[in-house]
Amino acid sequence: MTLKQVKALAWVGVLMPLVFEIGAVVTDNVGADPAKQIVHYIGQTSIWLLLLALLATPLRDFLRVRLLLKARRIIGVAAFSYGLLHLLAYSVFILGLDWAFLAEELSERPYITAGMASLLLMLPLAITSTDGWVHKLKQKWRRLHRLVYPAAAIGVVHVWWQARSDIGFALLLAALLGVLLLLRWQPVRAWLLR
Amino acid sequence: MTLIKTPSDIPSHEITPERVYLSRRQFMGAGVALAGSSLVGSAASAADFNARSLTFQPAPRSGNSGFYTAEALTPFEDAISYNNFYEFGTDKDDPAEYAGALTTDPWSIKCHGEINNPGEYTLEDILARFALEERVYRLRCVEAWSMVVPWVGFPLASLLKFLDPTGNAKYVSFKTLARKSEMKGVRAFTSIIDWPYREGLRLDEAMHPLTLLAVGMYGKAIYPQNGAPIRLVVPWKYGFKSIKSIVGIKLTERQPETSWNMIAPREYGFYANVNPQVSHPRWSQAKERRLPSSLFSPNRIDTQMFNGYGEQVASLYTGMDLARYY
Repeated sequence: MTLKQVKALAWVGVLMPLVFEIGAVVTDNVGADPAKQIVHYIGQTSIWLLLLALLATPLRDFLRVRLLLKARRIIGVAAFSYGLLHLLAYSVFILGLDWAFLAEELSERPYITAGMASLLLMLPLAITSTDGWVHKLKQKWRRLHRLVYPAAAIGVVHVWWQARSDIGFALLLAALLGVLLLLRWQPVRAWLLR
Repeated sequence: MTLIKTPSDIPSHEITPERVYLSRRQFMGAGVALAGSSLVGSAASAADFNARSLTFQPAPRSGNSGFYTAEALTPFEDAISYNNFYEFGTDKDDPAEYAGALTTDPWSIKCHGEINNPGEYTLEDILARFALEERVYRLRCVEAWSMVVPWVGFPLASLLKFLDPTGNAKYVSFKTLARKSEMKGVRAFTSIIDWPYREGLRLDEAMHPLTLLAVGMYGKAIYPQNGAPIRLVVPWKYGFKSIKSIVGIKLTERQPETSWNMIAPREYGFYANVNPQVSHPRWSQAKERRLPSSLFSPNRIDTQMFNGYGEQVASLYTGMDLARYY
């Protein structure tokens, strides 16, 4: 596959969840509490995409598959965009654009503060995701983009702090992130590549 | 307690003959229908299960009993498809999808503790003793959404009077069925709930005329996802107090352990009275979304103290610091 094809495929892929969700809304398949369904669905899409972006490097290192790496910036930008949509959907559908209420939620609900922090950490990464910025920042680009690790970790915390009795989903995300981070740790990497 | 109608003040024509209500035969018929339609899908089986209508005394439209509200009812379809019943999974649509597996016949409730008439009472036995009434109540979930549901049942007080509490009885504790073979949430290893699910009330709360044991909703037998065959409804408390699919009732001298309080005591108190002034540590309780909410009008309304039942129940808590006893 050419790079162009990979990128086209990636764009189609990352837009799929949005298309599905719009379809669900249009066909009235979002249940009695559509606000919550939409907010959760979009938020979960965001964190899955973030984990997918983090899979690109291990996939190249250990399986020599470069496919994801070629689409990594698209996946990352999509993760941020879904995060932003998630915040927007929350503000419009749940808070009804009550900004005072948003301010209160941000300051008093730790899980919301965490979600916002994760999104803010992704903002500079999304802005500098173009070829121009990659060339301009050179080595600094790689260092800057290590912000993805705390962004993902805080994103998982955002989910974890909402778990009420079943921590299954939060645990799954935490475990997957743990593995993805472990595979980047030099001793583990060296041992696996020996 | 004069608000409670005992069987003797209800005209005989208004009393549901027990054979009309859940007779064993009908229940078994429903069970067969459930089993037969499991191939077709859960929606079909649910429809069969609820083919039976109930006979009951409609809620009084006037007076200040709190038994009725003129607010728009939550559509039936939403009330049976958006549920918290963690025994069947933690997603809102899990109970509707998986609760069809619940066997509700035979069903009995073990009544024990500080009472003079202990025993394992079958559902038929219990239902034969009390006339059914309709109550249209607001239901406010601790997650900040709410519904308006027409329940059919009888006051818990009627059952408690029959069980005859001893002088030591100060609290009532309840237990939900925990049957691994039929409940995927009980099987889930990631669940941190110590099954069975438990709830409790102070005896005066339990004896309050608003406190209902429901066996039906929207004029029909209650669906499994809503707590079939018998559940509690305490309209001035957060929904998690209204325990579903009850198999045990015990009167105690000490305040009983309650499930959510055991999981997170800082977040869920024993009382759990609806209170817009006391926030849950993770979200505000000042407002609620009345379901179904549509996208561009989220239907956010102010939450009322005691869920709007202050006139009826505030006196139960005179002198109590409700921020401390949340």
